[in-house]
Amino acid sequence: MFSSDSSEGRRGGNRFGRMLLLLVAVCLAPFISPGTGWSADSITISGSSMLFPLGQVWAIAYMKSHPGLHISVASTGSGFGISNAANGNITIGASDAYLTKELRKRYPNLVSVPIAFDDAQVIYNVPGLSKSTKLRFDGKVLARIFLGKIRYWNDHQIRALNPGVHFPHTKIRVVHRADASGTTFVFTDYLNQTSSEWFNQVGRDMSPAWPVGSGYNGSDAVVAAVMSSPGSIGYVGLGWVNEYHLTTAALKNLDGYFVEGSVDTIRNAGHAALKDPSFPDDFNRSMVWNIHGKNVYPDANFEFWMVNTNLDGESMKHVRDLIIWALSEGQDAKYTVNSGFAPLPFRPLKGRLDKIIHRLLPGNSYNERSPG
Amino acid sequence: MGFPGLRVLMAGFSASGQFLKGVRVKSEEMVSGVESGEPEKLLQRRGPLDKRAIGKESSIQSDRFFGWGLKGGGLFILALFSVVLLVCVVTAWPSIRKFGFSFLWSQAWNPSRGIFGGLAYLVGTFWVTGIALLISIPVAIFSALFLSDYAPKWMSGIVSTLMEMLAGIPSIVFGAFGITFMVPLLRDHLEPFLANTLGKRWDFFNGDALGYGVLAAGIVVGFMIVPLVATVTRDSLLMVPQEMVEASYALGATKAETLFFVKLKAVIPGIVGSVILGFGRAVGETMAVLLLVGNQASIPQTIQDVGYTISSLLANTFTYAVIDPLYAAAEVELGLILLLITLVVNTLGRELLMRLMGGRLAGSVGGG
Amino acid sequence: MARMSVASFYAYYGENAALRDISLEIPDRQVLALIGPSGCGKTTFLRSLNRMNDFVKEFSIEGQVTLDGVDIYSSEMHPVMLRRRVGMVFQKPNPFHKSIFENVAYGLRIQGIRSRSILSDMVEKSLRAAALWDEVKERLDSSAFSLSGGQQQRLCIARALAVEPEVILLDEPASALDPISTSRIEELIQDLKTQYAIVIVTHNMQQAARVSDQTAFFLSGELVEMGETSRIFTNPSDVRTEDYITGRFG
Repeated sequence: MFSSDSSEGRRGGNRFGRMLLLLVAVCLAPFISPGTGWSADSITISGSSMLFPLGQVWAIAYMKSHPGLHISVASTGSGFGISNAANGNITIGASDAYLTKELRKRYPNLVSVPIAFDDAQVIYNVPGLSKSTKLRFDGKVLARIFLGKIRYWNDHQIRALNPGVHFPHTKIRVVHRADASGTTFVFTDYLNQTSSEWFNQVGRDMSPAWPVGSGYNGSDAVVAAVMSSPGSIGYVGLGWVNEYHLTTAALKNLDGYFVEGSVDTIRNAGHAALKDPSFPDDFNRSMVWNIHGKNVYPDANFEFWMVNTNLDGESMKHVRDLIIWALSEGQDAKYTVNSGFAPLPFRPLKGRLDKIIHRLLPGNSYNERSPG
Repeated sequence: MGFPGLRVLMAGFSASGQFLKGVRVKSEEMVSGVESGEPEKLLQRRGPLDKRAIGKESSIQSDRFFGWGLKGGGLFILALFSVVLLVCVVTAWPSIRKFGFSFLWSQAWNPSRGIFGGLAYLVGTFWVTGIALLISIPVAIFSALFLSDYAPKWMSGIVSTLMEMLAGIPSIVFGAFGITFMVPLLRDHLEPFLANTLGKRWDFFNGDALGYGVLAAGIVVGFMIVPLVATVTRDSLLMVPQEMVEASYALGATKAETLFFVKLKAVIPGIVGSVILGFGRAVGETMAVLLLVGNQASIPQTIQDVGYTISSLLANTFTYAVIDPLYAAAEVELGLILLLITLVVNTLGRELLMRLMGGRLAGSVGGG
Repeated sequence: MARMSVASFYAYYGENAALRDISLEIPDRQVLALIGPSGCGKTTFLRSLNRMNDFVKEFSIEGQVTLDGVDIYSSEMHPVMLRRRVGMVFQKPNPFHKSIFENVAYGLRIQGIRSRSILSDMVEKSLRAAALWDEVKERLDSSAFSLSGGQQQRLCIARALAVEPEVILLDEPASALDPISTSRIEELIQDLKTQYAIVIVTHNMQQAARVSDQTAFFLSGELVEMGETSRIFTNPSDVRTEDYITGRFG
């Protein structure tokens, strides 16, 4: 740069100029490039970290059978999925929770498409209990535990639900999720609908104000914390229970039965909800607790894709095809159960699905295309 | 949101500002030196030397470009900082307007009811930072003294290299170390021990021996900032003038006396500076803390309690919080507070340095 | 009467002999000036008198240096004790990062003196002896670095005096100072020699002539000659001394 030779000096100046241009280009690239993600031939799915593995296996399988279409899947959290689907940054927002009344008001263009079943199950680590000992809880006692009002395992309220089980005088350590989580939403939904104490003091949320306990980032960490700390109680979804072969508690359902969460009892809950004529066609209502039946797990829920009705026609057709594929072929156990979900039953879903597709693409209905 | 990043930006800004100043002075000297003498002389001559004169001009030109480039870099950082700050303030505004100062001393944080108060997160941040500094400062100073004055050359070489590697380990690895090593150690041994000894007299040391909590997070963050503080302190110690050390020996001081009363005293500015850096790192540390602190928005009453820090709250819930403008505003406001705390600590640290050095930093070693 | 005496003294840096066969006596209550060109070994010699060379890697000695008849390189004299008795002032002022008061009190504090009144007395006495008291008595608590270079050097002298040494070694104490400060230091040396044995290394012939009673001329690691300053400067017995003093080399 400071060379006294003229050619050197000029070259130095040019080089500098070129570097400057390069720098400017690099800085501006993100603003100029049309990289907001969805051209007509690409679909961006982003949101729930729980749905991420299912979205991935679906994307791989679907892209194989539909060359020319590109699907990218990202794990960014349900809240991000909902808000970004609403403002058009992504094509599909993946969410563990349905749209509450407030969210429907804020994002009137979003349509909730149910794509799988999941649940929240209670896991525990009580010293002196054999692995085969199944505990039973109802919403009221569970809520009092998570409110910090029941503090020892041998509390009479726990014993009353579990006759014959000998509990130690051990402190209860409440374990919850620290990150915003669909599992938390489902779990607090159960407490919210079964305990007025919980309803009044905490409420239902993906990230509620936990009165006691300690929080961990991700279900892995919750499982690790419960397993390593004697006296602890926590909650995880179906996938984690199956993966780690965890002993879970049976929860009391609407008809008074104590039911454990499993692929079957969750599907039963789903069946019952879909057959229930009072269940809304837009799926924006909790199916936790409200469902009657003997082998119906009371703390199950739908997983959702949120789709913006303002998508352009080309994209919408791709989305419609993808949804129909996901709800038919995509429900195979090799995708759903292996990713930690229970498959949706197709037959009872069909009628409501037609209405959803119609909302997305007026004039279209599911019947126009036959499932593979 | 990269709030620790902001701090780095600011440090970079002040550094580049100084750098710019230095460079400007230099280039002016160069330009004036060249203009006053050589080119005129050279231009008077004819023939092959003309070419040299042109070369000189061109190099003056590129020198000017260089100056502009540096200025541009400095201004870019200023602009970036302003934009980030502005975006944060605008995003946080709904919360600032709605809760005002009560945000600072209210503990109520209930997103589903739209009530936000940041006290628990602020207190948790200070707990973790405090424990981290209490642990790291003595360890770092002792290891720096060992490295600069006691360790044989081969060993100080190895230990210094290891320390620099330690400083480069991603914080998630420290978090994993915390979960697999510190938490069981605390849960099964240290915390029951504390409860049975000191805890018998002072409730401050009592607790449930959960393993996770402000103590685990503080210890691990402390480990993370030891290399930072130790490296700066060691470098400062190595820069203490030999004459000063000899003066102490010449008065009949032993090695230990010289080290503690003369060398340490001389490097206090360096230590304070590195502690400020360490504070900044501890306050903003996210991943390791998130894995260890227990993420419970309650105010820790004892050293064994769980807590929640600002940065781990943001990492845990910010992607969800964007669903509600007020929720997002409250979290960004916490981030802004973090930024302000770091600013205040930096300023106070500078003030403290000035006072320590009796108003002038002359002759001191490694000022912050 | 000799305070220290040196006999057949050799000093080595690794393989290289920096001093060869030095023998001389350091008289009490007199000033001995060491002169010679750069690299002649006079500073090495000075630093050998209070074992400051111990910190130099690969430094070794042969021969004997005694203080009041005790070999300072033997196990009978710990270097820490030696340095309390043989103080040193360096070429560059090198105060500590402490207040003026604490700089002077440092040597006393490390000897275990805690009493504030004793410390105050000793500090005042030392600062007076170093002719600095009147200039700093109002601001004993301010940093030593707030003093001028000449004041700093006198502070270093006061610091050395505070521990009440028997011998004071001065390594070109005025070389970094302006003429006024230099003359103050020289006056101070004249005052101090009434109580101490003083050895001063200097490059400045006039200074050696002004302040010293005895002068030793070093050349290439050897002691060429030593004697009364007046004689060395007027009637040197060695032609090399004469050449050096008259400025013909060095």
